[in-house]
Amino acid sequence: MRYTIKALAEYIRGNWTEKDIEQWLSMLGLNPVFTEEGNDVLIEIEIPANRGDLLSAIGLIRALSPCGEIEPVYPDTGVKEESSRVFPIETYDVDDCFFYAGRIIESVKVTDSPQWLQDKVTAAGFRSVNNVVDITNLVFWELGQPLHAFDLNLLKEKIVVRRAVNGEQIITLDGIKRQLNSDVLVIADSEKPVAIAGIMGGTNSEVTNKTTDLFIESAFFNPVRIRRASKLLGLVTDASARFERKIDPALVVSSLDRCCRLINEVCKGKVAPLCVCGNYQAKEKVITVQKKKIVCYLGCEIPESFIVKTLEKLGCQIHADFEDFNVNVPAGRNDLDMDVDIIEEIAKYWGYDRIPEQMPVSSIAYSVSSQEYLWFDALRDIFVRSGFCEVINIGLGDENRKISFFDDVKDVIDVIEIINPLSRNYAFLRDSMIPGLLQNLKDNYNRKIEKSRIFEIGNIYHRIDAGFIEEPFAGAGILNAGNFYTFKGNIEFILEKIGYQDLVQKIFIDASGVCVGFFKNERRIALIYLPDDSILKQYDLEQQSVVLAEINLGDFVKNGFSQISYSPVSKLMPIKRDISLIVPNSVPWQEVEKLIFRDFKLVETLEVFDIYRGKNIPVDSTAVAVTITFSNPEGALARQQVEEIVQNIIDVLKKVFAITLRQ
Amino acid sequence: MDEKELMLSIRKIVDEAMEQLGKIQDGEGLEKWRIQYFGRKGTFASMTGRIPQMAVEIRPRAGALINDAKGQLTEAFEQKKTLLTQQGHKRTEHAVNFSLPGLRPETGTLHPVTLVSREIVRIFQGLGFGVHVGPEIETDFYNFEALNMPADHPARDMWDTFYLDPERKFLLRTHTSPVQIRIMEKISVPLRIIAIGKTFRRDDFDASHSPVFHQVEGLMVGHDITFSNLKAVLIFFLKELFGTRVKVRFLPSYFPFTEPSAEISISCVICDGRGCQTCGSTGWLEILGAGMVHPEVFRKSGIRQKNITGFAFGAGLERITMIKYGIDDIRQFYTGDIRFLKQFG
Repeated sequence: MRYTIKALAEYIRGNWTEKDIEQWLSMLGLNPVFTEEGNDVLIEIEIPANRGDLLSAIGLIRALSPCGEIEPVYPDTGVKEESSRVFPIETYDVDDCFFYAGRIIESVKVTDSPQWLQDKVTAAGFRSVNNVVDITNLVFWELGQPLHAFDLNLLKEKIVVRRAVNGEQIITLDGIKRQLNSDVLVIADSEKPVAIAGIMGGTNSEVTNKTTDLFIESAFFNPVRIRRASKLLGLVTDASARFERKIDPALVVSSLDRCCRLINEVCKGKVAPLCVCGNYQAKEKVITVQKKKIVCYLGCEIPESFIVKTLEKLGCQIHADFEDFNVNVPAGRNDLDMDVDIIEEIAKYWGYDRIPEQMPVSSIAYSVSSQEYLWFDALRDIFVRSGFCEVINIGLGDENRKISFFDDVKDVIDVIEIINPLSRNYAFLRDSMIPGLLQNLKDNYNRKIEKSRIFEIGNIYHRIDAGFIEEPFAGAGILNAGNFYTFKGNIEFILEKIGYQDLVQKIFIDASGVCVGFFKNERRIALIYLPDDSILKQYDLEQQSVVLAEINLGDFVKNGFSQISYSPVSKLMPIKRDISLIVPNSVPWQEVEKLIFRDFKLVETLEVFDIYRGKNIPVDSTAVAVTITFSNPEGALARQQVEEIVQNIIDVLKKVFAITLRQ
Repeated sequence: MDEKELMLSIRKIVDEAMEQLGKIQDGEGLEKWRIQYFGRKGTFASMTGRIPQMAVEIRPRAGALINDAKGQLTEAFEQKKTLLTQQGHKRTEHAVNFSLPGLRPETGTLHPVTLVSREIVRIFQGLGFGVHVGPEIETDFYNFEALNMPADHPARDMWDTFYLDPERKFLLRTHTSPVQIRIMEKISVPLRIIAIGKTFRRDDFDASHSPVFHQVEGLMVGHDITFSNLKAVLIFFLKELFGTRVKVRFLPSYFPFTEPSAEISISCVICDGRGCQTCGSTGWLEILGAGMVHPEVFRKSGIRQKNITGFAFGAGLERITMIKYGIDDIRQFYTGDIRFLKQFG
């Protein structure tokens, strides 16, 4: 609904200024914006979904009336009947339409509207069509009841309110042919639909300057029915928006009468008796509000006289006793259902800013945090300490981005497609962290950031038989910042921190590159991915050093970080030996470690401190420099003993793995 | 040579040495001086060498005098050396350029949304709130129905939703409010929690909209929780987050899951409430939605006790972050642009 100061002014009795209206609308949370418009002022407000009553001038003024010394001026609804014609009305289902009213008006003169009427409907936001249509719109604006005028002579026999038959069609007043089905409620005559109920009329019964006799409709349609049809047809009108929010059934007849009265005044015409189908009897809705609950809820006392006066101005009838207010609420306020709704009205008009602040006094509850959030946050710190920048990707991608690399490595079967995506570019939920990170590296490279280290923590999603699942993952990637081994070290470090000590590593190589999978009981926990240049080329990153990884945090969510286990630091000076080895590339290093720890009990740690390939190293081998630390729980070790063990290790490595000492 | 002569000649040597030392300007000169007096063929070496040729009765005295003189000069030498070292930078200015910048450590950074989440978690943990998360893939029940929005409720239009199945049973949560229900199903009253996470709305990207963003949700439920408690807690929160200068405004609003409902704004942090481009000349920035938990939400969450009341609130993390750091485009958060991200480290 469109409101201007001038248009409203006619319907307000009492003392007020434009500033008052603005302040009152603002206090009620309707976020008014006032704009000068010629010699008038346009008022734009945000009307909440539950406040259909504010979609009419009278409703809006009534809502403002408790704020000041004003009240609404109700328009005249008295109508003089000068014809006796009646028209039969049938409704098929009371649930769709429990009350339908109409009147015939004979011998009208349909012309352009007089200037005053044109001005009024234009100010109210409607396009002036002709005097009849303009009057229906004006009354809709005044009272909030959508009305429709039919050319009576284009209606066959009767009005029928029914569901459309599948395959039926109608051309609506906007000139569009609409396909109907049984979800759509229509107004029909004995032959055909003549309007889509509560949404828009049809051209086949349209009022034109040839029209002489009218049938004016005023009805209550089921809000859900109108909403569904409006969604289905993709057609939202002022009327449908109003019906969706449930109209005031008490106004069905008075709005019809108001409309007929104006038509009689403006277009001449003789008004015929009221025809109805169905029944409306005002049902009393009485809400009991405990006085002490108001205090308990708001945390402050509000004077009883204020409460009574406010609610009465809103159209409620109040009966107060010692403990309660019994509030009889007007039929049009379907947002008022429970005591808390009344309490909200009281608080609103009292002013939220006048309610004092008071910190809660409450016993200290053992408010358990889910560790998940805090653990993820601590994990972020580990990445940051290792020099990674956190990114957040939206996780929606296109068809290509849904494909994760290494089909034989992944256990994910089915990606999730959004059924109503914004566009094909955002239609799939990610099932891997890697494509997003690769895109980030590419974007940064294009921004001339040739070096970057990034990570992300978030969910990946996939479909399983029983439905949809999301799994927490961490992903990381480097562009020209460190090499495969430094990156792998970062990932292994994190895996250890989150409780994985001995994952089985498997290497996969295919056209998309190299992948190191980390497995626990055949379940992949993590992977490190070294993309092939052909993949990098797709991301404009060819010849760049790019490594990516992702870690499944499913276990981490349940178990958190590895326990910190303290063991006393040895009082003996450690004995260390550095040796440099030439290791054939076919040797899995995990096997080497396993063997040394199994066969040489005095070896405490084995740390790789340098990995080198290139000059003087055979092409199928890698130089690996390790520090071996020895300790003997039973006492000091003799230098001679250590030299012997080192020699034995070298001999065994040579025999088992063909690992040689680098000269 | 008698004792007096010896004393005089030593003093003369000391005086000369001190005078020379005073004139020395650099380490090189100092070293020459040291060699002249203390070197293997230096003054003191030759003096000590001459002792055996002296009269027997004078020899001990001569040794003592020479040692005194040596001690005196050594001390002066050390002082001079310290002095020269202190002036050393000047001397070695051209050997090393100490004005060059240090090499910065390769540190990582947290995403600004994470930083702001932490700030919020810190504030609410201080008030005894627990921190929770909930699923991003939700059901219609938790996202709408349990929040007092049955099927075909017009308020559902307030949240344009991504659906995952044709029956529209599964969806991407449009807000973090479903966590309220999940928590109340799980934890007994009284409770106070916040929840942080990703949310999804079918909004096209523009400077202030993104189909994916983050929210923080809060919920406090107990026996005497009032609207005035809600006000106090949220004012405390906003002042902790944006500084005590900000003013906080509460206005009525509408959410199906709270009653009364409020929309909370802070005075614009850019213009201090005078009105500017950021606040659309209103002087206020809308920042939180809140209200008293609707009785229907308690019912759907299985809370049947009488006299239980509570408040809930929700806010967009990106919006808070944008206001806090003066970021003008929400899309920045998801570009992965290192130049953007590094500013928050």
